[in-house]
Amino acid sequence: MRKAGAPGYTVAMSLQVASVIDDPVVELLLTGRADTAEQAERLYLEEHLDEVTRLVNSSLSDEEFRRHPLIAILLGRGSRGWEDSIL
Amino acid sequence: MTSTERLLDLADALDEAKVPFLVMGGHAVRYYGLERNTADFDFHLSLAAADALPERLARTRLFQSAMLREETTWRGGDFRRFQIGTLPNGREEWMEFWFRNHLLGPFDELAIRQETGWVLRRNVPFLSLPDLMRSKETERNDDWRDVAYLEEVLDQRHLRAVVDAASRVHALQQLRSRRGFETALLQRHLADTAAVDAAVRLAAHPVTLAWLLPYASTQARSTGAARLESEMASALSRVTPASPRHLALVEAARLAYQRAAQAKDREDKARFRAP
Repeated sequence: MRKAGAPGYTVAMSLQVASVIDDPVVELLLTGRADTAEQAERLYLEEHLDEVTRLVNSSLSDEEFRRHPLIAILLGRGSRGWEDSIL
Repeated sequence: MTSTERLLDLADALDEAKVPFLVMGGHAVRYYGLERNTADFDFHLSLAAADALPERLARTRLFQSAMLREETTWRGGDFRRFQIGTLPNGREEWMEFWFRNHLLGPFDELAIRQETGWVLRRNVPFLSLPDLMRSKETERNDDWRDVAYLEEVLDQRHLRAVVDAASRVHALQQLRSRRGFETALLQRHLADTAAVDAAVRLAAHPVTLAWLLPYASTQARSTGAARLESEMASALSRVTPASPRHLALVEAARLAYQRAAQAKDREDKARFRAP
């Protein structure tokens, strides 16, 4: 098992932290701009809504487009499809 | 006594006081199918009904003995509320009346569109589903969760009623929910370009236009695009229908609409709350 201080540990931890910080919702939580994930998602969407059309017009593949945090959160919080509907 | 039975007693009292009313708020949401645990009873009344309302209510059989305590509200004459009891759990029970509201038209107009439904033992007049949705376009996020649900109900009602070209256009021109969109797609309504074009010309809501534009002919598309923000309209004219890009644009249009409505509601409230 890799222990703190062992070679590679710091690098692995840094990569992990960096990937967490890459998540805009986590960043809003860690910087104290939002208290809950729900609030953080809402804030992130409000601040970046204008970027949706730029992403739509970009050369991202459908898969890359869908995986972009802004689009993933927008679609995740949007109107429910058949499978998720509560009707 | 259940909250529904209590609603009916209040409806009886309003009838006895000769006060025409429409049920709105949580009980109307329940009527349209979403379970709500609410201790408040919200009604829309005409401005004329505001005259001597407490006196007229106090003369009814129910309120001769029951509690009826009016509390002053920050909305002045637009909104009045009365405490009518306290529940066993200690929560206060309120009967609230809207007379004028920036989200809704006058009572007479709402009454024409009302939906009357049988509840346990009597008919009850409710705000129509579109008016109820409109009444929930407030600054509160909880109300928008109700709107999202009610949009699905409205779409399903319209789509179930499609029997001919006219009813197809009627359903499409008000399409709002993703579930409704998926149903319209499955039932091939969106493949009928003439119906889509007619619906685009009649649609008023930006979310409806965002669902329909990629299916419309070039000519109808330009008519509909004029009612949308230009960048959004141009992106919608290029996306593949039902693609992730199309869905994202619809949700962006929905969120922009919600943001604008919330700002408008906050502005309205600030007008009353300002010293």
